[in-house]
Amino acid sequence: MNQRSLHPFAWWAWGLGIAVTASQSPGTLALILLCIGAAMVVYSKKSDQPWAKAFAIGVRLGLIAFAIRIIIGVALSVPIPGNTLFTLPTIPLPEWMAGIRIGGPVTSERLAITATEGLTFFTLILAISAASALANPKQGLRALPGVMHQAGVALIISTTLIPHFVTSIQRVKQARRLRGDQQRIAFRKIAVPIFEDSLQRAINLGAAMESRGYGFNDSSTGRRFGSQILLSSVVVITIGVSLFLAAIEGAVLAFGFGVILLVAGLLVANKSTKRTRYRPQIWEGAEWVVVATSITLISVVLYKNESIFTTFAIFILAISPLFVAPKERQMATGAAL
Amino acid sequence: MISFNQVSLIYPQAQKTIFNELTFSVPEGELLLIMGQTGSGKSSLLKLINGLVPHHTGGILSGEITVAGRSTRMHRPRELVDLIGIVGQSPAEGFVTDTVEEEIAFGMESLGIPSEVMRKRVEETLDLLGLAQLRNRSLSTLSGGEAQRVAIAAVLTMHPKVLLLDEPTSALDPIAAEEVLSILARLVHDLGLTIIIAEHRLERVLQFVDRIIHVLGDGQVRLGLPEEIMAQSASAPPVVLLGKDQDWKPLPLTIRDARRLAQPLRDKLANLSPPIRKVPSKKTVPLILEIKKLVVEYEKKVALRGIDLEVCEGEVVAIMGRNGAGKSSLLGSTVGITPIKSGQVLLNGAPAAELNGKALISLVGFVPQEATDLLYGESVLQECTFADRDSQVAPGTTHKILCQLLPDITESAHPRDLSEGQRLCLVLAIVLAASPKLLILDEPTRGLDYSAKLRLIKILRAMTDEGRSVILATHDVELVAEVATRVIFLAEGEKIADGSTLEILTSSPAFAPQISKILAPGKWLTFSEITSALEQS
Repeated sequence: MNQRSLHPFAWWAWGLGIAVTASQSPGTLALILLCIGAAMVVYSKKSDQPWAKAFAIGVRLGLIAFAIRIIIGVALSVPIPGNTLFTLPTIPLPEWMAGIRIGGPVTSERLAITATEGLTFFTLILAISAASALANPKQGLRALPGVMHQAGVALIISTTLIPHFVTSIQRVKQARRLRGDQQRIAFRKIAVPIFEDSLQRAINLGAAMESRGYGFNDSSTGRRFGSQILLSSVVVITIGVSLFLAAIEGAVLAFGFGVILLVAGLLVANKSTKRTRYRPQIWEGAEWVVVATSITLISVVLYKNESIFTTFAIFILAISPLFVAPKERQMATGAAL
Repeated sequence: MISFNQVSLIYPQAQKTIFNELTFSVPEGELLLIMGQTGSGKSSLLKLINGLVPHHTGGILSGEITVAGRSTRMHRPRELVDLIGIVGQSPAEGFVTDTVEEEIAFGMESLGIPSEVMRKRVEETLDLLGLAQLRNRSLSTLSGGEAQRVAIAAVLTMHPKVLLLDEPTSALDPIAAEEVLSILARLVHDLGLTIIIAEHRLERVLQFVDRIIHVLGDGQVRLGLPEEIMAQSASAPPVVLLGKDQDWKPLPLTIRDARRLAQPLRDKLANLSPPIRKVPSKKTVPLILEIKKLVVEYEKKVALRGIDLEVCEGEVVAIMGRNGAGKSSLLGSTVGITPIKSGQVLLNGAPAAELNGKALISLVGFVPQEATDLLYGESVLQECTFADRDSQVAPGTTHKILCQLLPDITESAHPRDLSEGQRLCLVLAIVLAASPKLLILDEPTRGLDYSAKLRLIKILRAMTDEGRSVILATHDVELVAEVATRVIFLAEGEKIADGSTLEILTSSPAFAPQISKILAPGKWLTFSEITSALEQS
């Protein structure tokens, strides 16, 4: 059995690389090639775990976004002169909305621009869903800094509670059948037992975690100090970004100071939680290669050279995980053993 | 290792004192059993030791409990994990992560143990508990016995000196129970662990324990050697009952001890024959349930492959087999809650899945594995009113049945606050209100002590005397020996044996009741059979 998966952060770096590339309008052919590349990587590397379904969902979402963009582009937009393909009936709009119109002639130029923009949306959504289909979310949460450990545990627990919730509902439905209860569905009769179930389960889980040492080493003072630094770093970074957007001087200074605070806060908070990790996710050659190709990909597209050579390079860089990444670990079931 | 000094425990809002001035100590390396009726405080006693009571549950505690010199008053349970490991009643509910390996490492991560040490301890523990094959499995796919072993492994990696287990075998089939218990015995003998088990399946654990704490239910406990406690206790496994009746000295606790003493009894019984159980025959009595070529599949797994089963009026059919053999699926199909892939399930000639409401419940009454699954009222009285309305019977009928089963029940109590035995009686009363022709019980004795079990046996016998039929799925061999007229064995979704109780139970060593093991080759199943045969001769 394959024991190794690529580090989830490497998958995210890859996905974001594709997304950034797509947003820089690299040309229609490049966009299509990016989509094909992402699909190739997902289908050859994905696991059979539930989150691998994210890609299929992403494709559907992307198609919907594409369709909406086309409809809006055709029906409602600023007139663009050119080759008229067909004319839609115009809906008159009040004076003050001049410049926008609904309906009117549809030119091939306008259709082409809309289609390219729709394709960009589609590629963006596809890139993000490809990354979430490949990166193991639980490993990702575990790889977060120690301060976020508790939030991570809470998330993991809540994902395991969803199936329990479904069984609770089933259980009450079955009970009604078994008791021959043919009354109209009463909210109270269903909600109360389900709530009781979840409460009971939460209490049991709390007791089990408590008696297994959860929170054993947490020094609360250190953690509080850490989170205070983190909070102030967020404020400073926000100020920096606002300054940058308003083009006021000092933006870089504020931003830099914020980043230093962020790192310091993480270090302090990490030191106060003496938690260790069993089998920490490994970051090795393959991860470096994926991240490096992702950065190269972005640099290539920022170069703004729409030659056939760049398009080809974009495609090769986008599918690079095909050659270096291991296949994601499959779900182990009774049948496999 | 563990010492109790003048320990008293009261829960606020309860009139009863749970424990009153307990003083005792448990030395290192002992395997101790806590026994007592359900609701007497077995679990509370266990949780007192690691401080979950009162730190997590509330309650007023006086006196001092120390474990290896550390007081539970001063330390929260999480600060005692390097000393005490506890495995709760349903281990699956305490799982935090999603795969076996991560679950085993979870506690160590919180303790901040270095990664290399963790790796080593995980490997050791996987080997110790025979879990190496399951290391990558998702926790939700584990069987009951496997989950129990993973839960034990998860606390063992923190190298505790004391291990506490709440009913570790009551949900397990005899073979899985044997596995878990022999691992516990090995931990005591090889690692010198102190282990305390709360359990009411005495017949399974008695042979392993060094001493017993008998929780009497009035705030007092009795601590002593198994022979001493058993000699005084009214609830005892068949081997002890037989030993007491025959005046065997010393009182046997295991099959081996009893067999050595049983030669004279075997000679005496050789000329007698056990009372014949009247078995209704299919030719003379109408069929109530007919299952033809039933196939049930879940996603990828086949649960039942082509089961045929006929049950006629007055029969008590016991369905046995490993955890996951398809027992619950088979029972569920008879009331139409298991989706059927192919085949037929006919209740009195009509397809079960198409029956609804009154038509369904007057034919079949179903008591699920978790009795609470059937309860959604907010008080006992409300449950009774619901049942009267659903069964379309005169108001008060359910309550009357309940009073027969359980004379001293508080009507205003919330069903979740009842003891396991009381809850089973409540569910039985609800189900019996519609006077169904067929009663189905899934694992009814899971949380029942001996006295509650005796009451259940009486109820089932009364039902069959009225000509009703019963189907029960259970791991409890002694219950089957007492009530069943027919036994069916399931394995991997197939029916592998179907015959009279005597024939099936005596032919398999793992599923034979204690009496038949002691008196083999004689064909005896229960203690009461022997006493009545001896009286008649």
